[in-house]
Parts: sequence; structure tokens; C-alpha cells
Amino acid sequence: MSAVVTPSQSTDSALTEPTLRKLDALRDGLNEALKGKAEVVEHVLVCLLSRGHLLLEDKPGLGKTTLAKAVAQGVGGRFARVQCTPDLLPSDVTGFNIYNQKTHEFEFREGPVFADVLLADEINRATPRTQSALLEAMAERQVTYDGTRYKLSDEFFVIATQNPVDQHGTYPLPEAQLDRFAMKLSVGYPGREHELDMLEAAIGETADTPGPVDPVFAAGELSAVQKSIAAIAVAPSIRDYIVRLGEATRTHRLVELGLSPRGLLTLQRAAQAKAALSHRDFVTPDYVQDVAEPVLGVRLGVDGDDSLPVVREILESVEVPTEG
Amino acid sequence: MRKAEKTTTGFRAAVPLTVGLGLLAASILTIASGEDSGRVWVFAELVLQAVLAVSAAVWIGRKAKDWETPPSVSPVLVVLGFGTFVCEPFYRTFGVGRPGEIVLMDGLKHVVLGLAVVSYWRQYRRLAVLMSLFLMMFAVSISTDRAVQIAAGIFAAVALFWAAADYWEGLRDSLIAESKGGVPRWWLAGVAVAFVAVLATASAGSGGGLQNLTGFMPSSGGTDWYDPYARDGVRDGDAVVAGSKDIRSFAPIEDAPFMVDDRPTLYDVFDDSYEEPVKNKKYQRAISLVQEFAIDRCQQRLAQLKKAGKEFSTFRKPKDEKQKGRMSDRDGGAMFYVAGRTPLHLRLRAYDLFDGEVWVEEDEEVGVFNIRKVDGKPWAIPPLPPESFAVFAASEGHMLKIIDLDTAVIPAPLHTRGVHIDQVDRADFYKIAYNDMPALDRDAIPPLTTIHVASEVVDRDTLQDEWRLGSSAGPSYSAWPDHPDWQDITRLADEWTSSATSRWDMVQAVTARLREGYRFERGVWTPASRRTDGEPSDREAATGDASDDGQTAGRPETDRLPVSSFLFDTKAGDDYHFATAAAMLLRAKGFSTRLVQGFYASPDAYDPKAKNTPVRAEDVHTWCEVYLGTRVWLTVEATPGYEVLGPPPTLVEQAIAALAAGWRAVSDRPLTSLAITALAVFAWIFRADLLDFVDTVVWRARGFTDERSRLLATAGLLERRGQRIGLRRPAGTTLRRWLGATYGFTFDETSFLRSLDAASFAGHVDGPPVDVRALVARYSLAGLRKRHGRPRSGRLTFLRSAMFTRSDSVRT
Repeated sequence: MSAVVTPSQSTDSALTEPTLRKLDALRDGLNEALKGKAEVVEHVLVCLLSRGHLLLEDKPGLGKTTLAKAVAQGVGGRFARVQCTPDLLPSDVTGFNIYNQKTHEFEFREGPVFADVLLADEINRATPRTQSALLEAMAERQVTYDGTRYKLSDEFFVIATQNPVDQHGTYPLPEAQLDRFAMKLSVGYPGREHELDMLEAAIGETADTPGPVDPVFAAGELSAVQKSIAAIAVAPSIRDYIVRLGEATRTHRLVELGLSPRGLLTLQRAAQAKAALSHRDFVTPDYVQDVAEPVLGVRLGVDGDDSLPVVREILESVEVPTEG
Repeated sequence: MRKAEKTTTGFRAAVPLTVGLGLLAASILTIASGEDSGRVWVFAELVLQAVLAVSAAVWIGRKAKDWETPPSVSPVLVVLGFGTFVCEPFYRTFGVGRPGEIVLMDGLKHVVLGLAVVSYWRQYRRLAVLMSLFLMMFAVSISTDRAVQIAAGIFAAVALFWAAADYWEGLRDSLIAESKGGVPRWWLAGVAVAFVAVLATASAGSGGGLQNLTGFMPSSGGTDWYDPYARDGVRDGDAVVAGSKDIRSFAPIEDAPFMVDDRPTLYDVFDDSYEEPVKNKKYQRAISLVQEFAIDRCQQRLAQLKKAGKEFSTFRKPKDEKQKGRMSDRDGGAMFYVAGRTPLHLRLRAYDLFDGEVWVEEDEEVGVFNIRKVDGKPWAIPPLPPESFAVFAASEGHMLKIIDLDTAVIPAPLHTRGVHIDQVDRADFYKIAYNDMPALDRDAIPPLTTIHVASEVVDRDTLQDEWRLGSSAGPSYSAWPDHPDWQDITRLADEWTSSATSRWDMVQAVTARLREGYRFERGVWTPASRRTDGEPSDREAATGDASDDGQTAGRPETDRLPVSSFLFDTKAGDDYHFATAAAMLLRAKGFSTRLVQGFYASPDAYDPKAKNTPVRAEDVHTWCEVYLGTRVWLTVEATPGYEVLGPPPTLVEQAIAALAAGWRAVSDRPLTSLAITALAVFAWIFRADLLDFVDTVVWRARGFTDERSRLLATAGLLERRGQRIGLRRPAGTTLRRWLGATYGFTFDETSFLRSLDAASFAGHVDGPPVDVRALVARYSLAGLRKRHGRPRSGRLTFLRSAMFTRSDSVRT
């Protein structure tokens, strides 16, 4: 169809060999922390590298916190955790002004959002007001309090967890806010084999969580990696494919809310991250398909509970490009 | 382009297919309607419309991505459609006008092409194809040009593809989940090929299955129309009567200057066809009658008419070899032409009295014609019989163009109900010949006269119920020869009709016996006559009929009647033998019968191009008619190979006739058909292997300039290879994943897949070069079949498994 695609800018901002090795090391570390969940780990990495936020929807005790902590340690950033409850106030998340008796001035006490990796546990138990405060921070990477704007970390990465939505005392996230997340994943139970390993490893250990993950990136290094990933080449036919996927979600009979333009951007970014993790400097339809399920799963308003069958159906029906 | 293709075109070949279909239909119409103009003009028009349509389609295709819908389609289409009508008066002022329906179709053609050009948008595409289908059907119905038939076959095949692809596309749109497979193209191709084959055989066969379609499409040459540019139509009104403008209008005018000379008289025609009668000097025959009082009158008339030469002897010379040669030289010139349904018995003479050897002509009936205006035309109506029988199916219209017929009797079918010659509006121009034959009151019908004849056709299915009572047409119609052979004939008639319960059964039984048990041969010798005349005995030796010689020599009565000789000895005869035999056998059962001579317009002689049937001198025929009562007669055709016109065929009957024609075309060439079928079956079974072989050879022969195109072509080849055994890549599966899973690539080949990915989506190739030739050779079609357990043909496996299970069960 079109002429040979030049690998645009990928030569100068291409991921260098050491960076790629660091990514592999991060993957190994996370896999060590969360055994038997290579696929989930891969998606978490995609989400992290594409500067998206992650929504984990699963039952308690499946290692969500462990994963979030491991990510924080791996990227060498600060980790914070907010346990969301109905009485959690927005300022509990963002931070608040406190009167300093010595200086006779108000000074800002930073909340947990000023960490590099934030785990917002059971986010759907927080009130919509608190949810929206957190979501502003996620989208803008900044916090406005009392008229002053506070910038968050460049590598700010939120892992929010929520219990399955049909439980009591929950405030389900509206679609507009779900769109702020790059992906929705569920961890799921580990396999029998991994559970046996886990039990064996726990013998003699006092803490239930495995040892800390070695930090892979130096401070600020992750955002450089994220920038170079954003420059990975996407052929016109792949972009067309992404757009057609978006159109298919909008015209599907079971989908009430299709993919937004922001969703298209997220999908492309995620595919780029996936390509980087596969050591390629260009995107293929395989990478788009690999990340499509969690990316589309979080943001399709599907009639009924489960969006995954719909996403699979759309992936099967939209024609895949075979060349540039 | 991409985006436009997605939202508008759907399947990939839609636009080329639609434009192709539109152009095909347009070309068919151009060829069909351009028979009058020169070939150069037709060719120029074909090229012009193809170039215009294709270039317009290409241009629109480039624009299509910018347009949500094409601007101002409807006004352009209106201009295209009506432009033809606006231009027509100008054409006509220059004397090159066209018939009304052609102008209409030409406008439609322009609209179709316009719609095909904008077929990037689905709403226009479907309309374009629908209209082109109509265009094609119309064009096929007005022409018998071979090119038109071939183009129509191609159109059918392409349209079938189009329809199936469009249907599948529609399905995919509405039920995304269900349509996991692609379009089953192989099946479609098979069906399309079969369809084209049937169509081709039907149209190429001698029967001309396509001819059955004529008359379904309207044309301008009707009875109520006047248009100087009209084509010849169903009733072929004005254009035919004029007969001056267009040679196709009816008759071959070329031989008109030569026609005046040496015109054979009708007697010559009959005698040439049936050979000369042989005079029988020894015996005077007589007739026998039931009603004794009438015998004198009949005997008198017999003698009188025989003297006047108004007779037909059934005792004739055989045809010799020299004459046979001469006969075949002479055919060609038609005596007249018939338009209308055939087979048709056209009557010229009737005989009632028969003395065993000679038939004498029927008495003339006095009757007057009445002139009645029908649609402003004068029709001569003969005296109509009282309506007492409900045996008539429908009225038939026939048209005769007399070229060279030296008789005043109009060769009309039985039960003529009206005769029309243009501008002849006086009843005294007509008279009645014999009992009920229309004739002109003059010496002969002028050459080139066009005569319309309306008649009624007997529906034979009604005879069983309607024809119950016997009735007599008069003593002369039931008289029998006063001869000892009469006893034999009566016995034979009794024997043949022994199981018949009704009168119609009897007629059918006699006809069937004659048609099945006797051989029809022109100019065959009736051996019994050898004794009465010394001259033919050496000729008898020439025919070498030795067995009959011995048989008849042993009999004391040497003067066997020719008809009984035919019935009992030779069992072979000319059509007058059959007719005489039928007449006599039926008279023996109490029927009134007569012998009729005239012409037989055979359906085999039908000229599809001129849409008429020429009747030549050798179409002279003799048959028998049996009396039903109240001046209704029934044609009894005892001669094998001759048929009687029945009621018009229904659509189903026509379809069956078309199928039969197709079958005949196949069965006439059994070896060729068998070879083609075997070849087709072989090609069908090994279709995947053959295609894959060709594909691989082409792939190998291609010189690749760079690694990237080489990798892409290889991937394409491997993908097609899988498709050939039914492993189609689902639309949503990436090529890499599909190739890996389908071929079960080992680690080596994953480097091929990696390189392929780079070649496809990065535009450059990284990694080491891949030996694609070795790859293609390693992952062959046979290996793929084995891997997926897909044998060559599902049906063959089914057979094989059926055989194996049977043998297994025997073993256990």
C-alpha cells in the first residue's frame, strides 16, 4: 500500500542495549516477587512504561500489594499506600496545609500521592469526592490545594485495586474515571505448583512477603526510558488498525461506550511499550493485540459485566494488516 | 484510501467487480443492439464506454477517501439517462434512429455505468448490479449473437461471485461473532463454472435452449405500434409487412429477381418429392360403402376426378440413386416462410375417396368469407363451425411469407379462423378450397405476399373426455376399397385397438403402432406393384428385396394393394403410406378420415436469427385427419419423426425443453463430454496441488530486488498454501501468529518470523538472511496436509472411510 516505512527517530532515541537489559532485570525481579504470573507482570510493565495507571480488580490476598511494592522497589522510587475507606478525605490523599507554630505560616504537608508508586487499595470504597481528587492527580500529575499547584513525581504510577464491584459499601468508578486508567488486570490465583513453591519458601521466614526487589533504575532514569519508548515507530497500517479497532468498539452491538480518542492514544502507547519489552523498535499487530485486552477491558462500557469476551470478539473480527 | 475502503467498499474486489459487471452488461447491449450498424461502430462504442467508465472509476477512487458521499450523483445520473432521449431526435434527423426500447435501454446503460463508477459507496453498488442484470437479460433476449451469449455467461459467473461476496459481507457486518471463516470461494467457483457450462451447452446445442427465452422481453414491433425504427418483435407488425427496409424483416429478397423464371408448379413439387405414379392398367378398382345409396355418386365422382387428374396415387415409382443425388442438390430455396410456433402442418390439398390405390380430391365446399376489422386491419373470417366441442386450447397466430408457391390455396393450419393480407379488404378475393381451406380467388398467390393466419389448436388432453360420440363426415370419408385386402386391414385394426376403450384411445393406438413398428423412408418401393407393370422389375432387382420376392411370389392374388403391402410386408414406406394406412385402419373402425397433403414446418428448420422457419420443397408431407364431429377435424400424424402442434408450452415445459437441449448437446458428443468431465474432476480433486504448484513456480521465477519483498512474497505464498487446504487465516489473527501455529515453525523459522515482522512493519530487515527457498520446500503442501490431517478431498475420504469401515466390520 504505502512505500517502505522508515523507522522514524528510532535510530537516535532507540532503546539502548543496557536499557533493554535493565527492563529484563525488572521483569525478572517482579516475577520473583509474584510467582507464576508472568503475563500479569508483563502487562504491569507495559502499563508502567507507557506512563499509564493500573487498576487491579481482584479478591483480597492475591498479591496486589506485593506487586505494587515490588514495582516501587524495582523502579527505585518511593512507595506509598492509601487504604481507601468511606471516611477517607481528599486531603488524606493529596496532602494538606498545617499551621507551623514557629514560622507562623501554613506549610503544605504532602500526602501519599507524592510518592513515585502509589497503591490505592480498594479504591471503590472511597467516596466519589476522594476518588476524583485522586484521579485528578493521576491525569494531571499535579495536586492543587488551596490555590497552590504542587507537581507530582514525573514517574508517578498508581496501582489502584478494587474488589469486584457488586459488593456492599462500594462506590463504583464511573466510566469517565475508569478511562484515566491505562489497564485493568486481575491477578488471579497462582497455579498449584507456584503455591507449593511459595509455601516452601515461607518456611523459616517471619514475614509473608518475599524479599525486596533490587532497584533497577536510577532516579529519573525511568522517565527517560518512557520518553524513548514513546518514540518507537508505528507503521501507518498499524495506526489504521488501531483506529479500526476503536471504530469496531463504537459500533459493536453490546458496547454502550466505545473507545475514546484518549483510549486510542493509550492503546498505541501500550503497544509501543510492549514492542520495547520484546526488544523491537517497531510495533506489529501482535503487540497491539497483546495489550488490547487489558487496555480495552477497562474502558469499554459493556452491557453486562464482563467486557473480555466482547474485546476478544472485536479482535477476531477486525482485519489485521499484514504489511506496513 | 484505507479509510474510504473501510467505510465504503467492504470487500476488496467490490469496485472492480461492479465496474466490470456494468461494463459487461453495457457491452452485451451494445453488441446486441448494434447488429444493424457496422462492426467498426460497435467496436468503437465498446472501447469508448470501457475507457470512459474505467478512467472515471479510477478518478472517483482517488477522490473517494475525501468524500463522505460523492457530490451530485443524482443530477449526473439523470443527465446520463435522459441524454439519450434528448439526442435521439437528432439521430433521427440524420436517418440513424433506433427503436424506442433500444433508446430506453441505452439510457439505462448510461445510468448503470454511472452507478458502477460510484460503486465505492455501497448503496450505489447494489443498484448498479441489479440494473446491469436487467440490462443483460434484455440484451440477451433481443440477440442471438454468439458473442452476446458468451458475454452473458461470463456476466452470470461474475455476478454470482459478486452476489455471494456481497452477501457474506452483509453477514459479517451484522453478525461479527458468527463469521469466523471467510468466503468459501472454491464452492462459488465450482457452482459458477457449472452454471456457465449449462448455459453454454444450452445455447450452443442445436436445440437452442436460449431460444425459449424469446418473447419474454417486450419489443417495439407490436400490433398496436407504429415506429419506423421498430425492431422486429413478437407479432412483428409493421416492419414485416413493409418488408422493404430491413432484410431481416422477413424474407430473403436477394433471390427475388430470379424467382419469376422456372417456378415449379405445386404438382411438380409433389411429384418431385413422391416420384411419379405408376399406371395400373390391369385392374379397375372400386370402392365399397356402408350406405349403398351413395355408392353410385361416389363411384361417379371417382371416375370423373381421376380423369381430371385430381388424384393422388399411392402406387409410385421408387427413387433411384441418380434422383437421390439430384434431390440433395436442389434444396436451399424456401417456398415460403412461417413465423410462429412449429411444428406446423400447413394444408394444401385434401382427399376423401380412396379406391385402394388412388386418392381423389375432396369436393369443394361453397362458403363465403366475411371481412372483419381487427385493430384496423381487415381479416377474412371463414364460416365458423358451431361451438360444440371444448377441445380447443388457444388461438395461434402464424405469419406466412410466400416466396414461390404456385397455388391459390393458402398453406394454412387446420381450423383456420381468420386470414389477413394487408390492404386486402374484400371478401371476394378469398374463396374456400376443398372442404375448409382458405384460398385466394386467383391462379396463384402473388410472390412476396405476407399472410397472417389465425387458427385454433386442439388440446389433445381434452379429447378423452370430450370426444365420446362417433359421427360421420359423409359417405366418401368412410368408404373403403372393394378389395380382398380390406379384410386383412380390418383384422389388423381390430387387433391393434383391442385394448382401446374410447375413440381417442383407438386413434392413439393406431398411431402408436404405426410410429413404432414401421420405418419411414422417402421414395421407398412398394414391392407388390412389381407384378402389375413389367418395367419396374429390374429396378426391384436393384433394390435387392429378395425376401419379399419369394413371399409374394407364393401368393395367388398378385394384386396386393400398396397400402397392405406396406402394412404387412415391407413395413417401410413413405409418409403417404403411413397416412393412407392410418386412414384405412381408422375407417375400418368406423371413423371418418381424409388424406391431407401440404407442408410440414419442422422445428428443426427454425432459423433463430431470422426468427422464422423456412419451408422448402422437401418439406412436402402427407398426413391423415380424423373427424371429430361438427366440422372439427383432428390431425393424426402416423409418420415417425413428425409431430403435431400442441397448446403453447408452459414455463415449466419450456424449462424442461431447455434442459433437454443442454442434455442433448452433451450426449451428442459423449467422448468429448466424458473427457472434459474427467479432466474437470481430476482438476477439481487436485485443484489445490495444481494451484500451489503454479504459485510456487511463479514465486520462484520472480526476481526479488530486496530482502524485504522476498520475505513478504514468501509469507504470502505460505499463507495461500494454507488457504488451499482450508486453513484460512482468521481476519483478526496476525500473519506471524497464524504462520507459526499453522506450520508449527521450529526455532529456526522464528527468525524468519522476526525478519518478516521487521519487513512488514519497520520497512527494513534486521537479523540474518533467511533461506526462504529451503523454507518453502520444507513446509510443502503435502506436509501441511499431513500435519493438519486434511486429505485431498473431503468426499474421497468419506468414501475411503466408508469402504474401510465396511471391510473392518467384515473382518470382525
